[in-house]
Amino acid sequence: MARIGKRISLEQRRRYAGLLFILPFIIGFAVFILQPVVMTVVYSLHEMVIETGGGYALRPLSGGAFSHYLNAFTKDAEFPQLLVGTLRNMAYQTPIIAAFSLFMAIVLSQPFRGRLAARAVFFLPIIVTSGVIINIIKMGLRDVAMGDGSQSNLFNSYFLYQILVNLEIPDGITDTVMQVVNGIVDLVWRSGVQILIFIAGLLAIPKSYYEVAQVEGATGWETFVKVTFPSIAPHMVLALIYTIIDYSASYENETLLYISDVSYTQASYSYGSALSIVYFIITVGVVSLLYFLLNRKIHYET
Amino acid sequence: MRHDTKLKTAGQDAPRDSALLRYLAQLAWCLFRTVLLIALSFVILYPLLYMVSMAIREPNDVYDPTIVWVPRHFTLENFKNAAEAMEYPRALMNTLLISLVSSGIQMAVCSFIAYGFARFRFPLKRVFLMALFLMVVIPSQTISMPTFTLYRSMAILDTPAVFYLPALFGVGLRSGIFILIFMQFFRNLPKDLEDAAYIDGCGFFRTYARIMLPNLRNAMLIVFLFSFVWYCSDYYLTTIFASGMPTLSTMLANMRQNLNKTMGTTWDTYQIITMQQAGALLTVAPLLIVYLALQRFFAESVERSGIVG
Repeated sequence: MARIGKRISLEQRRRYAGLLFILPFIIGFAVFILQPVVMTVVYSLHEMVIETGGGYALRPLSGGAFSHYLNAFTKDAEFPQLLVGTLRNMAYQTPIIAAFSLFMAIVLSQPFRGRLAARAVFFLPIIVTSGVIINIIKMGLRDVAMGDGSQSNLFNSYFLYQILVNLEIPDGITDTVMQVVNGIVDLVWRSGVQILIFIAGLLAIPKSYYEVAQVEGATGWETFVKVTFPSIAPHMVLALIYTIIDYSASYENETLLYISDVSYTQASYSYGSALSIVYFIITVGVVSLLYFLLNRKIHYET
Repeated sequence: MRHDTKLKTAGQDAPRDSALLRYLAQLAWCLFRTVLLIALSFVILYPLLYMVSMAIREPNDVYDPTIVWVPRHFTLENFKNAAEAMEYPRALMNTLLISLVSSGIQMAVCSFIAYGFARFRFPLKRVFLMALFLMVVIPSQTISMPTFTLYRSMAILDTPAVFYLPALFGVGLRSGIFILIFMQFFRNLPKDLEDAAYIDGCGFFRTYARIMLPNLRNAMLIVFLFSFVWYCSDYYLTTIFASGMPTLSTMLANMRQNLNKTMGTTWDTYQIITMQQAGALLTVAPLLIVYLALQRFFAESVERSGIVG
């Protein structure tokens, strides 16, 4: 009897201990995340008037509390288009990045000479993530390209472009080649973290699985489909979600750029808040949808 | 691509295939892999090589179309000018201080919180996990203005506290991701150790500190590296909440104006590229040094632990 009583009290103490462990997070979330989010919602339902001396006043909106939200989809000529564009980019870039990262991770986790060096190179984009530095590199290249605006999103292609033009290759082919090359450059630079995630996942698969597959006479393709892929499925979810979040919060994201332009350059912060909230809800929706759809199909071992 | 090669090698399993074919397929894959890795490595290293090539040439060499990689007039003057315009020693100290302290705090706090999430059941756990998820997804831009107001009312604007304080409460720069990483590591650790500790009368916090933490070395290293990199290269938070505090990223972004202010001569847009690239190199230098120093351990801890699941 006494033993059972002791166990229950340990169980109860565990409950409080758990809350104590996450207590900093509860406070931090309430103060630094929830409060600002609520304030943003409040801003978005009012008109904000900046007063001299740095303060501001909130006035009720003339067209109803939700008129900012309505305007975003009815009167704003740019926002819906940018939003659709962002979602479209997300929809086609995310699977490409995931597939490419998985392929590179498989290559990089094979035993070959210099694999640690190769991995070190492929993880470099994780280190050089700073938007400022990437901008400086791009700016330099754009300036060298003497103001040709079409070169602005390219890393290294200007010299290649020159070569192709000098070889008098038709414009159509040159453009296609350039697009593919730029796509690859962009791909490699955005895949660092995802490759890392997949390598970690691949290396965690027990060797015995592969031995069994070999003994059973599975082909390489069968081994991949039946052993490798199911084992790294959780990593796939992680990589996909990371890619989406990374893109949705990246400083080059057109929708976010537009929102910050509206908020700060055009100084209509309350309207910008409404746009932020719309964007945030859509991002959360996309990520949750993906998470729940994929997670239903994954069989977790533990 | 992978499928093709796999299929090619798949054929070898059929009993009639000769050893020669298998050998050829392997050779082809090896060759393909080498070419691919070299080509993609070039793509990654290119911007860095470009930076170096630009940084060590004299500003006027930018105009010379015959110079592609190797400068005709070698100089280190650009680094000197860049360092001066960026107030390099001060900016570097600020950046290192902020990044080291913040990532130290994040390592400690996020692992602590993650332990709570990974190992305990408590009321409203689902709600708090939901909050964690929201924190991971929300872009900092969305809430920048209310956060600014909040920091102003706390009187911590333009002090390092705008980085330390959120980190201390587990809501720093990308803290959510770090909490998730630690949670995954805890899940992979066997429960037996803890149970043994509890039976021996060890408290929850002592168990965490004595039993769990020592097993987290690999996770700690990964989180530290990421956290350090992200704080070091942060530009957005610094410009909004701590614009009065020069860091490497902000000074690099403002270099163009500062260059012409601090130097008597005015450089034109093209000449300034050389100094900007030098500045960019000076900015990534601390990160590259840390990465090269930790690279070995990093690669090993990835190999040994499996960052997730």
